[in-house]
Parts: sequence; C-alpha cells; structure tokens
Amino acid sequence: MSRHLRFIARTVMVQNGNVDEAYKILNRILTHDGVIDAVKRKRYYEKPCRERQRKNFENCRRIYHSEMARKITFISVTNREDPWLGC
Amino acid sequence: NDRKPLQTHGCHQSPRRRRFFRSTFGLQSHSTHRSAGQVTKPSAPNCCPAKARTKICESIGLQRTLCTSAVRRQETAASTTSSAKTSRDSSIFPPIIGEESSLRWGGKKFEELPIAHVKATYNNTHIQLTESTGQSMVRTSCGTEGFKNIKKSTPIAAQTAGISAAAKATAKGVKFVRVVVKGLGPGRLSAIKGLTMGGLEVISITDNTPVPHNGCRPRKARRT
Repeated sequence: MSRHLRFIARTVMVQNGNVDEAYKILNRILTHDGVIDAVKRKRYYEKPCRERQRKNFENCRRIYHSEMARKITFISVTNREDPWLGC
Repeated sequence: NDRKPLQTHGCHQSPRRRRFFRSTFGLQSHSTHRSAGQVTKPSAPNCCPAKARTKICESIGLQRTLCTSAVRRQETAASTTSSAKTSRDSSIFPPIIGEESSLRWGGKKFEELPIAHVKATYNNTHIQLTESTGQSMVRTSCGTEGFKNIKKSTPIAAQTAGISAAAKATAKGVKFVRVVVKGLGPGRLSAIKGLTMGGLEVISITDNTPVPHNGCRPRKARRT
C-alpha cells in the first residue's frame, strides 16, 4: 500500500479505551467489504477452473438465498387486509 | 468432506453441491442422481449479501460526511473541553490529515504519534514500534520472547510479545500509539491486547493486510 495515503482506509478509532469493540468494528467492515475472504483465498493458488466453479456456486447460492428470504418475508406477513371484509 | 480433493479454507458447503442448486433451477437435467445422496437443507437465509454490502458502504459514506461536518460545527460553536471530548467519542473514522482536527493525544497530533506495526503471520507475530517518521524504536517478536517453533504461532505468545514491547516503549516515554496490523494470523488481536495490557494506549487500529490485485502467483494448494 505504498502508493496510497496511509491511515485513511481500513482505519478505526478506539473509543473510550474499548480496543475489543474497535477490533470488532474493523473486522465487520473488512468482512463486509470482502477483504478477509480475498486474503484467505489468495493464500494458496486457486486454479482458473476452481475459480469458475466457485463463482458459479456463489452466484447460485446468492440467488437461492435472496429468493428464499423473499418467500419467507412474504409468508411471515401477519397483518394482511381482510379479504372477506363486508361479507 | 471426502469428495473434495483440495482444501478450501473456511467454506461450509462444497462447490460440488452446486449440482443441488443447479438442479433446483433446472440448469442441469442430468446428474441429479449423484446429488440425491448428499441433499442437505440450505442454511438459514439472509438477505442478499451484495445488497447488504452496498447498504453498509452507503451508510459508512454518509456517516463520514456527517461526522466531519459535525466536528466542524462543534468547533465553531462555543467550544469547551466537553464538546471536544464528545466529538472525539462519537467518530469512528480517523482525523483526516488536512488541518481541521483539534484532537490531541499527549500534545501530539494524530499524524505525529508513533506507530506500532504488528505483522501477524500464520507461524509467528512480529511487533515493531516506530516513530511517525519511520525510525524504529522497539522490536519484539514471539521468538525473542523465548518461544520456539509451534508455540510461536499462538495468541498467548503474541500477547507476551505485546506486553514486552509495551514495557520497552514506556521505558522510552511513549504513551499513545496507533496500531497497524498486517496479516491474518493467530496473534492478530492478542498482540493489540498485549500492548494495552503492557501500559500503552491504543488510539486507532489500521489494517494494512496486503491484498494483491492478482500480482505474484502464490504457492500451490495443499492437499491434506
């Protein structure tokens, strides 16, 4: 990171001496940005065929999870307007 | 997971099970017989991770602009020590190295504080304290603390290295320090904890883990 300005990105200030809290915040930011996954994956070389398989798998998984979450939120709605109102 | 020949780090579902997903989407009509023996229930669904990521990035960006403007407003208002303290407590982001911050630690600005570099590899943890200019003050590692071989790659060894580094630094008159962590090893958090236990005060944590944009080719995958 020698070409970048230091202490701007990936930096978290410690508040009230809570070092654990600050580390947790930093970790959450890094996982949400995909940095930790990238570092773990690049430890060993991933052949292009494996990389394609993994990307395909993650795509399918993402579609599946979003569809399932949509279905569950649809089913779990309890406050619906009464379909038999007025009868 | 015996079917997988190569080791993948930390994934709970094998990509071989993509055939399960593919069959549910009708992408592959054949080879469903192979996945029949390994059909498992999907994990608990969350909302789409890409959407969550953009939400958090947007919220972080908004927070940043809000925080800097909040710091300016508090400075131009009737500034007491309490207002300076509240602006310091409420911001997660570091003071930008422009001119606006009124935050001082031991009389020093953020960019003049010494830096504690923590290199957390998978086999060892090194801690080096430097001035803001880059001059090295203190250098400790798990090996210099007397640990050997496998004991170096433990969080306890990193903690003792942190404590000894903090002791040497307080002997040289250092109180506040900003920490830069490099690498994902076992001693990543415990080295910072050791620094605080040894008497130094950590004011910010930076992560400087090197992420290549597909530069050098790493070693081949392990087969265990």
